[in-house]
Amino acid sequence: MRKIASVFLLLGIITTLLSGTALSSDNPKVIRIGCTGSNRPVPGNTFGILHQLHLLEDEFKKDGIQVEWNVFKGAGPASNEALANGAVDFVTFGDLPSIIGRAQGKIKLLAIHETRRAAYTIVQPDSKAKTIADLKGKKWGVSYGTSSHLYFSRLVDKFGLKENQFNAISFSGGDGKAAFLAKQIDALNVGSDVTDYVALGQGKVIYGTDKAPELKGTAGLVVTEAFAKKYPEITYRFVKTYVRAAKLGSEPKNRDKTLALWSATGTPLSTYKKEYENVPLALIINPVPDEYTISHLKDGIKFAKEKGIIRKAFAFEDWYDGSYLNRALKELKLEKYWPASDINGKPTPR
Amino acid sequence: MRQTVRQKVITLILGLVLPVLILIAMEVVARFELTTSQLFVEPKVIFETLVDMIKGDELFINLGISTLRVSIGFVLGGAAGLLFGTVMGISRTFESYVGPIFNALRQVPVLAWIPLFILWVGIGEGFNISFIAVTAFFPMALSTCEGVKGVSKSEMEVGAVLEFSRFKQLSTIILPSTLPAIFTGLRLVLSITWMAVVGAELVVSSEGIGCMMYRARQQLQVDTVLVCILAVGLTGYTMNILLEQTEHYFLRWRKVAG
Repeated sequence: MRKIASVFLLLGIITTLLSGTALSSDNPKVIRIGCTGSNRPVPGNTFGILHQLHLLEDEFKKDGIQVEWNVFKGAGPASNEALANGAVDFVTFGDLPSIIGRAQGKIKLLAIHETRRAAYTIVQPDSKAKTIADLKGKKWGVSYGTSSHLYFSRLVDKFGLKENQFNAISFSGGDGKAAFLAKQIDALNVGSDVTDYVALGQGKVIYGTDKAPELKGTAGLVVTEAFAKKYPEITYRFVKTYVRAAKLGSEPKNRDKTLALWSATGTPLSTYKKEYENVPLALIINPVPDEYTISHLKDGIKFAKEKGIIRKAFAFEDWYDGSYLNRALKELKLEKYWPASDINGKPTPR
Repeated sequence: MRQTVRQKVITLILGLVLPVLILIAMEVVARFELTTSQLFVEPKVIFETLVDMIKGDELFINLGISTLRVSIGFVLGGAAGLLFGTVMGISRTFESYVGPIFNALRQVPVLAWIPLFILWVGIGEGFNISFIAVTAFFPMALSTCEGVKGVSKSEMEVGAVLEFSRFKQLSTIILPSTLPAIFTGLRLVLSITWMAVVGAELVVSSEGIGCMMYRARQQLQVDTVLVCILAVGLTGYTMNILLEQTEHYFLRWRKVAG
């Protein structure tokens, strides 16, 4: 009798444990998000809107799921390390780091986070350099493993030059800026903050993506395959909320609010206004891949393989999982909302 | 007592047991994906990367640059430390003046000097060499000073009795007696200067093995990082052997006296 009771007790314990395990695997306790920045709130684009308006927190509150934001000063490479360590589930980062992340690990591209990211090469105000070739042998600050690295590589390649002809010094985070302002280096690649350097007389532009639009960057939203496989519905709800935020931010009536929201991170509002002057925000905050962004990312994969930045190339189609985005667009009736561009960035019907 | 060939082979085999076990563990973890981390790579991949890097010259070029920096910094810092330590060991007055600040400054971790050096010297070869030289200076000075102070009184008395000049005392009694401590200092300085060069190149450089490691890290190329670590380890080990041979040559009188 005692033996039978013991068996039933044991079965009961095992069943409870298993059902407990099954229950706990329906939802994660926390959704961990990573992005690039140097402070809070989270900078730019859709993630900035999501973060400051607490849209994800509101979406998952009823399920008791917390949302944890991790801002990485080390930019894309730091995000990749966090993904590799299993420390984050969703990340937005630039084209090159996301390509590196995919080449080395199991992540899926869910949506686009930013397109047409501008980049510029600045030199010291008193520099005699007028072309990229004039920078041969000079100290040029490069953030390896980031979008800026891809811009640098492509820029050098565009002019038929080699990277080892330049004294490219590796920097991460804001160290490059500090070195440039201290006149320790001759050139630096910057983004939309170029206007600050020029306005304050701290640097002058010798080349930029305004002259070579094909060098503009793209950023994406990725998820770890493990998370998406374990929590497909949570992943879908994340993407749906992401699309809602992108819609909110890209609406013309919300333009001023969106720019003001972005400038809360410290980048002046005037910088954003100048950067996006006469540019509809729907073109920038556009989660839907089109020929322009897809061709850019495909070129990025090919280029990274040629330059030895990644060891193995991969097909874009194996990387991008549009099922969540397409479902969200359909449910929110936004399939035709966002503009599409052809391979040259010209408008094309969806 | 000299080791027999058999003993040397046994020592070598025993020394290889742990590295082989580590390689097996790495292979098992990577192949069976026992961890979700992409930071574990199969030894085969590391080996293939090593071969590619050797074929492509970049490993030897960057290792050569770092080795040159270490050598120059080692010589400059070591020489300055030797001189400073000798004077501090001989002269109590000098030690009274500089001892406190010397002992305070040598407590500062090596890598903490980097921001200051970048500001003082700027980014470039000047920063690399001066930073490495400073990291070599402190342990060399300390070892030398302790060695000089450790010269036996009886030997000094012999010099006094024979009315040696200050220079002759230094060259025939003090420095030979201090040589063992100097070589101990040199071995310590060698490992510290390698740490310094990799640290400096990790922070800011355009070439060198530390720079290679940094860029590989940024591109999540763990295999390249591991190859660089292996290269630094082997180079440092080789330099240490050369130093040991040099020590055996200069201290051969110890065997004769023994």
